Amino acid sequence: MTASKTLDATLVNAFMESAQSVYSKMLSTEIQLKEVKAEKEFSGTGDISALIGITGPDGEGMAGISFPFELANQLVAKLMYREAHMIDQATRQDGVAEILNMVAGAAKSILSEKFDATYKLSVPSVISGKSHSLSGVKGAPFLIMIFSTEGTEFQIYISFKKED
Amino acid sequence: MENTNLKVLIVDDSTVMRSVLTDILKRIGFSEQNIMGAANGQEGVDTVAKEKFDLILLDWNMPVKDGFTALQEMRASGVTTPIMMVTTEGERMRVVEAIKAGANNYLVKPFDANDLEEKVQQLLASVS
Repeated sequence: MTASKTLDATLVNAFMESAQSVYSKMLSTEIQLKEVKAEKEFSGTGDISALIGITGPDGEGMAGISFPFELANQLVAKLMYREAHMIDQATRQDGVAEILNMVAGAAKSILSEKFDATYKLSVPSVISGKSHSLSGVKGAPFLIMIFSTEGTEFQIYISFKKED
Repeated sequence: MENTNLKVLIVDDSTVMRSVLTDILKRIGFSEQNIMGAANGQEGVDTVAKEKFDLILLDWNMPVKDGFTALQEMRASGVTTPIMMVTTEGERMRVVEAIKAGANNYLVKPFDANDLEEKVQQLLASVS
């Protein structure tokens, strides 16, 4: 296995483990990983995405999460012990950013311990609107993880360029 | 309940997380009117300079001023209020840094609500 494939597998495993932990502990729901794929470019298939930058000693990149609006409302409502109809646009955006913050933060901890390295995260940002597109890191593919929860799919994606 | 009159400051840039933490604190007897929020480390430092609290919950990664810097500044200014970091920064090194800088307890996100309740009660019992 090449170094980059090892990194890819480690990234996927770290984000899968962290996502499962966030959904289980904070959202009282389970998720199923349906597919992992690598693509050169990626257009988010959700209506709302949160993005977060990752820097480390071995490279830099970003991670993101995309949801359909309805699922985003359901999950933010679960996080806040509210009903989905009570979630307004600003709350939805803030909640999606916080979900990604927790997923990426937990993954960062796993990676930092595994590689004995310090990774840092930026403050998340949110893109909202149907058919929005996302850019990754130049020269690095998107690793796309498709999950299912509440009968609906959502994506977590990672684009990380390792320094030579 | 005995927590009713205690004043809490939650420093977190996420309004959703401030709301989540507020709801959990209310479940263990804190009064909503005694729970204040600050959206970043600077707001947190400014708020504790003006008002006395019984407990501070402090996120780490925030815009304007991060929670670790805010923690250092609060302690340097003589604030003795118990401070619990509630953050995604889960590495052991981070925990050690925060405790050395004056944090009294540390909770990593994601967390179970029960874990927060337990740690808050432990922390308050240890300083009472």
